[in-house]
Amino acid sequence: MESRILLESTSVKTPFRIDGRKPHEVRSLTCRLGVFQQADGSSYVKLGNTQVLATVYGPHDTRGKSNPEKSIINCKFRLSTFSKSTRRNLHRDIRSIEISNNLTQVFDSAILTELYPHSQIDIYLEVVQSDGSDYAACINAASLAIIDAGIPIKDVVCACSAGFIDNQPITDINAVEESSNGTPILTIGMLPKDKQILSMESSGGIHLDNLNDVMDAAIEGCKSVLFIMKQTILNHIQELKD
Amino acid sequence: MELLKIHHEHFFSKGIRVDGRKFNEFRDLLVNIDSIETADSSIVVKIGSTTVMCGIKVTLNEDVKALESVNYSDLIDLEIALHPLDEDKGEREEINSLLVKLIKGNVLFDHKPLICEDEDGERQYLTLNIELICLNNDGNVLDAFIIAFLGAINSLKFPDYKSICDENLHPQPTSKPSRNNAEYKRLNVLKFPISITAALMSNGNVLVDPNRDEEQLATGLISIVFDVATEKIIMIEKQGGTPMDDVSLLKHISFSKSMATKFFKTMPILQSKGEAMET
Amino acid sequence: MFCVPGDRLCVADDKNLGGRGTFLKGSYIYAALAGKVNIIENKDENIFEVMPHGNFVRKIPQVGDVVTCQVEKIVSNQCKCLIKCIADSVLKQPFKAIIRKEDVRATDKDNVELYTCFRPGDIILAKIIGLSESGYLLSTASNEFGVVIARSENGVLMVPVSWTEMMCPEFKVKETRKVARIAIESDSNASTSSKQSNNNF
Repeated sequence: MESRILLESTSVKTPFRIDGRKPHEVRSLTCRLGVFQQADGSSYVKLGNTQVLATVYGPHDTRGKSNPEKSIINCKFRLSTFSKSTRRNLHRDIRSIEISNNLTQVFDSAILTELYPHSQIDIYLEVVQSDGSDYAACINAASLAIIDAGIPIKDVVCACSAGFIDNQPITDINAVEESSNGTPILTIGMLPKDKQILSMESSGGIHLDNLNDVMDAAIEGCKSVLFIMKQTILNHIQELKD
Repeated sequence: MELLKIHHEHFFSKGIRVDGRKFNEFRDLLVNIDSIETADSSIVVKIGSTTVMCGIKVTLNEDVKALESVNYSDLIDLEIALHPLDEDKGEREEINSLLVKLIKGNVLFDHKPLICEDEDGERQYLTLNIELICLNNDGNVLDAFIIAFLGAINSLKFPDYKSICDENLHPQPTSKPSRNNAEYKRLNVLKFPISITAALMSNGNVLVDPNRDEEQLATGLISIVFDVATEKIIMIEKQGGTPMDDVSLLKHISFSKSMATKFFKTMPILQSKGEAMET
Repeated sequence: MFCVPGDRLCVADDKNLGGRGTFLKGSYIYAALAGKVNIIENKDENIFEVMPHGNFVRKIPQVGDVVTCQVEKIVSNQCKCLIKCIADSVLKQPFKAIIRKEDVRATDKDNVELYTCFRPGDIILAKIIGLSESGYLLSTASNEFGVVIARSENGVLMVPVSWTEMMCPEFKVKETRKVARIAIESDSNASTSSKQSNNNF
């Protein structure tokens, strides 16, 4: 099936995307902190139509092995069966494990784990509605939940995805763009303060010449995401203080 | 634990609970339907701070074709996810088995709309993928799950099997499936289960809708599931706990029944939309 | 002033020091928590710290902390317990810990019978001396550490009568315990001040 992902607009320079966004536009982002009582920290992130819930527990005693040097990070990612719009059987297991492992590594390096030796921090993520960029939304949600829990972290970890369609780098891929054939997708999770890239994941082929443009698009996306995340955190703490 | 008990008992002696409720008082209930666009039906139920979510997705079922006769329970795929950090494995198994028993063991709705015939006269089956997720466990998850299930089944709208087939072959690249009401089917709900759970305390008090602390202090739980339409009892579960004599048990049951009926009446979402279904 | 993690607070030098809720990187002090920035101004140094929202600090037991634990079970050469509180703050979830036989008393270490010192269910005060494979290592080898609350076999709260015995006030039955001498006022002050000093997080 042929579907045009980028639509021609009247001015040739700025084509519009299928949902009416400009190439570098990030979908509307809503975040909330402290949504559940039971958890030590929790957050809700809505990126366009992608909705993610995150909870953080810990640091608490380990079950099984422990590390005397630092805290063990344990991430679990779950995609609910009703989260996707297509009725395909979700091959969710492999992808879920992969995302769980990636998230574990991202937060293992971002959290100041050495402050809590011999303990464990659990991060649980639940995607209730998926519309592309799940991994990026999960990183953002987890990072907010960790901050809500009061666990020391180096920076507000933020993430954004970018792709390359019709010779044009686009920021924040949605499900339609994700599923169209052969779209290269790059997800970047970064520590924005030092502009350090924590995780980079790509699927589909990106030509080396274009990689730079796509990365720039993702990093620009991270910046706009970060702005909203910071505002949310500051609003949240000010609300609590009042 | 001991301090918690003393703290609670201090309140009980005054005829009130720690959060200010009376013994037979439910917490505030909040229901939000169709908050997830990708699901065919979704509902979020909050009882106090206990939050559960139910989503239903209708998919084509290839596995049951091989079976000679297809029953109601074959067309339900039930997945229950209590919060993964709930270490209390025993509780999880208990709620799991209770819900499976309730949902699969009773014919709660008419499953005929799930069986269709295509042009060649071959039977096609659809499955309900029901997923119940507990997002925040502050006690009484079972009642919340059952309300969520009933609400989700009631508000379920699914397209004809053909469009599901088409979608399988060519996934529609639209984030929101077009909802043309004329082509959608609904299920005819036959039984309307509503459960009332209470915690039995060691001193003989019965606390309706226990929160997590009360659940932990309780010697046992008693759950009664009513079919509100016919006012019959579908299920009673009292696993041990403080013994009750028959008079107080019957009194509790009749109280729970009035409670369940009241619940049902206050929530239009739980009631069948029979007229809409005819069309 | 409010901050989010990663905000640069100040240059780190002899005068400006990072307190709790901050970390050092390069030559700057950064915030590690979201909350209010507190600057404690002393005569010749300023300490920057971040108070997390709700004035609430996540704690895990650390070596040197005085903790309150409950005895779970006693095996031949060690006593297993759960740490419930660190100094005066209650933990949300308990941590596993053990008391080895040789750490129960300061003197006459070899002739300690664990069963005459602790019983399951007792509440004890102890000090963390280290970490091992199976949890924190505790020591009660000091006068102020040992059993503080215990119930007799009949379930009655007992009162201490000597440093090795407790008595049930109802049935006048004596049971042996490693009894703690409850710290008097000045001792508890000393322990709180030591708590604050080693409380970087």
